[in-house]
Amino acid sequence: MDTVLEIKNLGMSYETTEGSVSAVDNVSFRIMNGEAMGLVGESGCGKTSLGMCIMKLLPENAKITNGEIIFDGEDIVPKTEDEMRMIRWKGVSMIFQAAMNALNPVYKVGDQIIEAIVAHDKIKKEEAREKVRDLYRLVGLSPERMENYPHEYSGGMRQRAIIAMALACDPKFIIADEPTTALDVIVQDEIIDEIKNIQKKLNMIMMYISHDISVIAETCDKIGVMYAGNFIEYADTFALFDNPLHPYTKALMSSFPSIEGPKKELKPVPGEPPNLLNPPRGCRFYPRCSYAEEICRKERPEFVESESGHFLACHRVI
Amino acid sequence: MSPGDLMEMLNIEHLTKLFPLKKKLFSRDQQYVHAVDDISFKIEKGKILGLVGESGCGKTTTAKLLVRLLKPTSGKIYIGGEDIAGLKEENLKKFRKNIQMIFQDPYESLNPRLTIHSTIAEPLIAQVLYDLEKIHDALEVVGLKPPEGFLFRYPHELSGGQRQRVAIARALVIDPIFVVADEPTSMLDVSIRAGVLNLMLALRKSFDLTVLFVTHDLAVARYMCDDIAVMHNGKLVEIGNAEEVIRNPKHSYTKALLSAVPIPDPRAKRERIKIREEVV
Repeated sequence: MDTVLEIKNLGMSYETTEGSVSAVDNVSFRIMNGEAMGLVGESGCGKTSLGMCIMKLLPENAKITNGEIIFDGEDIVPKTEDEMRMIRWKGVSMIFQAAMNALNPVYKVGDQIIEAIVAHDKIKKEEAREKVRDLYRLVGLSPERMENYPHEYSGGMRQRAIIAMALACDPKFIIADEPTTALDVIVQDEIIDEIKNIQKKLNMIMMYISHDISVIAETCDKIGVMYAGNFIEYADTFALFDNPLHPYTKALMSSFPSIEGPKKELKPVPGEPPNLLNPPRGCRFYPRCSYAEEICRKERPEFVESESGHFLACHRVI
Repeated sequence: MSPGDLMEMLNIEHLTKLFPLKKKLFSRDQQYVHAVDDISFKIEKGKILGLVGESGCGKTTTAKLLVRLLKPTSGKIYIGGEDIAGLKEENLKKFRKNIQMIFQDPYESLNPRLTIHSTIAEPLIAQVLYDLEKIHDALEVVGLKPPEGFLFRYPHELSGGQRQRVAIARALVIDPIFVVADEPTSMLDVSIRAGVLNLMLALRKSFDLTVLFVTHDLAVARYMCDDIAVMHNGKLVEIGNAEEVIRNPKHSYTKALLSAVPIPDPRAKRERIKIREEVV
């Protein structure tokens, strides 16, 4: 299998008035052809920042400090804004989090997608319209709905339109950033199904960002767990669920209620995530970790392969 | 007899809320949305009832009716034996001491200009019961220790979990007998959510609270509640023991709702039941 996305030692920080915040720190992983990788972690752990790095849609005060993002054989970190414009939508595309805000309220939804296509592909407006019609069918919307404005759509329909828009230029790689967080269970279930089917059907690679590990369990082949800007565990979905190794991953899994199996008590992860203006010097999780030892306080654990295909950053487990 | 002695803390009979729709030009008939449509249920003292359903099914309207932020169109709401459905505004104040609400979004439900002290003092001042000791105690029971460290901070200085704890402290500070919690953890992060859920379970025990817990998350409802009521299009479609409803749902809507809940296990392949054939 060939690697389509490879990230090596990526670091990104935000310059704030109080100092620099390292939101993504020394992250490395790969996504192979046709694979879906889930990215889980709490709010503020750097999931969305990582997605924005890959799209290179960073705000002014953020910059990539080191590392490479190799997409389709090329490092995109040194690329200019003009070159990135060619890669975005066609190469990498993103399904944004807040479907309510991602659409322009004063344009018809269909026209917004047509605009995106015409801006990237050199095709006529009428061809683009035909393409949007097909996309609407693909995501389960009726093509007549193209003539409506965003406020005439329900939350789930808006999210479908956003998915259609992300697919507009036939991307090879799609980043889904919490696409179902604002939706209720039934609509969430439909959208997850839709995304999963489309990803397999179009044979794209996908990075699915969510704070909900049960949603990731249903959609992804591989899972990366992020904590305070670091990748702390990365493995095949089954391996990670059968045998979570990092104390944070274990804690995350026992903090979820389930409708299956015997009812068990939830164990919250004690404490709060660290302030990234001044992160702990050693392992960033050690202040909340019940297995922490002296070495965890002093040294940052390296992210290494502990079993075949199972990567981990922890002093205690290896 | 004091209201706390009754077995049924809350008894709702044929509760209905209609919202009038905008009239069409020249139309004579007034059309209504049946947001809550003739529902009846009871909650025993010290129990938690979970009210579940998808967005727009009338859960939040029901919650607002019970705390009388909305006036019911018809029906009765007995709390501690007293019908509050028809109470006029001026008589509501006494009743509001007994019943409190915890809102969904702690980023919106706390006034950003008020310190934590002023936020929690507000219901006490309204009921003429102000006492700094009570505020201290309330902060302590929700796990914000030491209370002195929080009193003069503002909401923006707190994390989401801490804010929701402040909102819980504000609801509990005047010793209510009945609490309505409207999706209190849906805006919180998973690792924080478990802590707040456990806190609410602990408080229910120590204060002997009766709670209506509104949520769209059946897994959370199963964890928190003694009984579960499922709402669909303004009507109650199923009500029963929580474990029984989850394991052995009777109504087809409940079954569909259950089949949509994601399960934290990649091997759990379920038969999905579709409610809607197609999205138009």
